[in-house]
Amino acid sequence: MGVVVTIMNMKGGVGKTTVAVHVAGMAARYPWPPSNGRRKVLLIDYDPQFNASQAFLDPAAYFKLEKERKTTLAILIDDDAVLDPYKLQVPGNHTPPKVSELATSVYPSRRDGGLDIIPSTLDLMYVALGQANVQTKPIEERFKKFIDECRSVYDVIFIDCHPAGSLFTKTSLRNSDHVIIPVAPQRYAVRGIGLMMNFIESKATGTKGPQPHILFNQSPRIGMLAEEAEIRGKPEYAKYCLTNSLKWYRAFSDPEGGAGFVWVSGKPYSDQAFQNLHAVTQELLKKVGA
Amino acid sequence: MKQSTRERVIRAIVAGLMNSDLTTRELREATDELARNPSFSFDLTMSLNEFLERLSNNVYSKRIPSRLGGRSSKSGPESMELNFLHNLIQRRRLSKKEIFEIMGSISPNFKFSGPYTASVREILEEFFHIATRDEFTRFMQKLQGTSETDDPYLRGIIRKGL
Repeated sequence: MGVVVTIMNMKGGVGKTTVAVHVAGMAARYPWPPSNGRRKVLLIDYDPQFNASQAFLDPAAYFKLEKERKTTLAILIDDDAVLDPYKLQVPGNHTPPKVSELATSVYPSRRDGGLDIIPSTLDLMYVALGQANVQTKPIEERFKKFIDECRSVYDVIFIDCHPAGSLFTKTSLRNSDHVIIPVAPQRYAVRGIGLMMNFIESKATGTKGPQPHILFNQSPRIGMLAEEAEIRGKPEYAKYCLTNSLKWYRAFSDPEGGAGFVWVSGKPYSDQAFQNLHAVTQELLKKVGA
Repeated sequence: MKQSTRERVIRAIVAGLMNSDLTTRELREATDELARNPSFSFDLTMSLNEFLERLSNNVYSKRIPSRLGGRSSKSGPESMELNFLHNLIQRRRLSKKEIFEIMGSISPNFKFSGPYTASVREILEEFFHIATRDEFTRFMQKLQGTSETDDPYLRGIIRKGL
C-alpha cells in the first residue's frame, strides 16, 4: 500500500517545488534500503502555477497533455465542465478518471522504480477562485477515490500542493499520511511553523492527521543559521525536524523540461549537491515508511 | 468588447497576478478591493491607461545624443515605468553586468557614462534617456522573456487565452 506525502508550506518562496521534484526524482531513480530497490513514484502537481510540471515536461509535451485534459483538474471536475472564475462547477460524476488515464511517465520503470507525473494547469485556479459558498463534497470525494487508487499502484505519492489555505490544501492534507514542511532561513520562519502545525491539526479528520516533517531548505553548506537553530531548539518542533537539511547549491535551482537536475548536472558542486540530496531523500523515505 | 476578448483579458490579468510576487494575502486583499472599492478599480484603469499612453506616444521615439541636465536627470523616464522595469530586474536577479549586456545587445552604441557603482535605477534612467521606442520595447521584452524565442511556456500560456 503506497504512502501519500504532501509537500506544503503556507509561506511562499521556501523551495516547496524544488524539494518535491528533487526528492520524487531521487526516490524513483536510485535504490533505497531496506529493499535496495527503486521506488515507484507518482508526483501530483497540485498548484495552479504548475512549476513542478514545468520542471519535468518540455513545453510541447505539457501543452499537449493540458489540451487532452490529462491534468489534476480532471481529478476534481468533469471533462466537459465549463470553467468559470465566478462559479465553481460541481461535478455530477463522483468517480474520477483512472490513474492510468492521467499519469504521464517521466522516468520509465526499469524492473522497479519509475516516476510518473500528473501535471497541473493554470485552470486549477478556477477551482480555487470559485470554491466559496459551494458544496465541495463531490470534489473531495473524487480526490479521495483517486488517491485510494494511487496507493494501490505506487510505492509513494508526492503531492506538490498549492501554498494557500484552499480546497487543494484541505483535500491534500486529508488524504495524506505525511506532510513535508520545507523551511527556508527567512524572517517569520519560526512563526510560519507554528501556523502550519495549527493548520495541519485543523484539517485532520478524527484523531489522526498527517505526520509533519520539517525539512530545512536553502541552508548554508557550513554551519546553521539562527532561524534553523531556533526551530530545532524548541521541543515542540524539534521532534519533527529532519536531521539532514537541504543545502544551498546552484545545482538545485531551476530544472526545466526534464533538464538541469542535479543527477545530471555539471554545475559547480553538483557532486556535493547530489550527496546532500541523497542523504535527505534516504532519511525522508525512512521517516515516511516508503 | 467581444466575449472572447473579454475572456482573454481576464485570463491575461489573472495569469499576470498569479505569476507576480504578490502574496496570497495581497491577492485576496486586491480581490476584495476590486469588488468593494470603486476608486481602486478607477485607479487601476487610470494607471493602465497612462502606461499605454506613454508606450504609444513619441516620448521614447527620438534618440537624444546628449543628456539634458546631466546624469540621472530628474526629467528622465516616468517613475512608473522605471519602477516596473526595476522590479523586473530585481525579480530576475540580474547583475549589472547582465543588464549592460542586454542593453548592449539592443543598442550597441550605448555606453553608460557613470561609475560602475551607480545604482540600477541610474543606469536605467540613462539608457531610456537615449533609447528609441523600439529599443525600449525590446529591452522590456528581454527582461520579461516575452520575445517569441525566449520562453515557450509563457508563449503557450499567452496563446491559451487566444
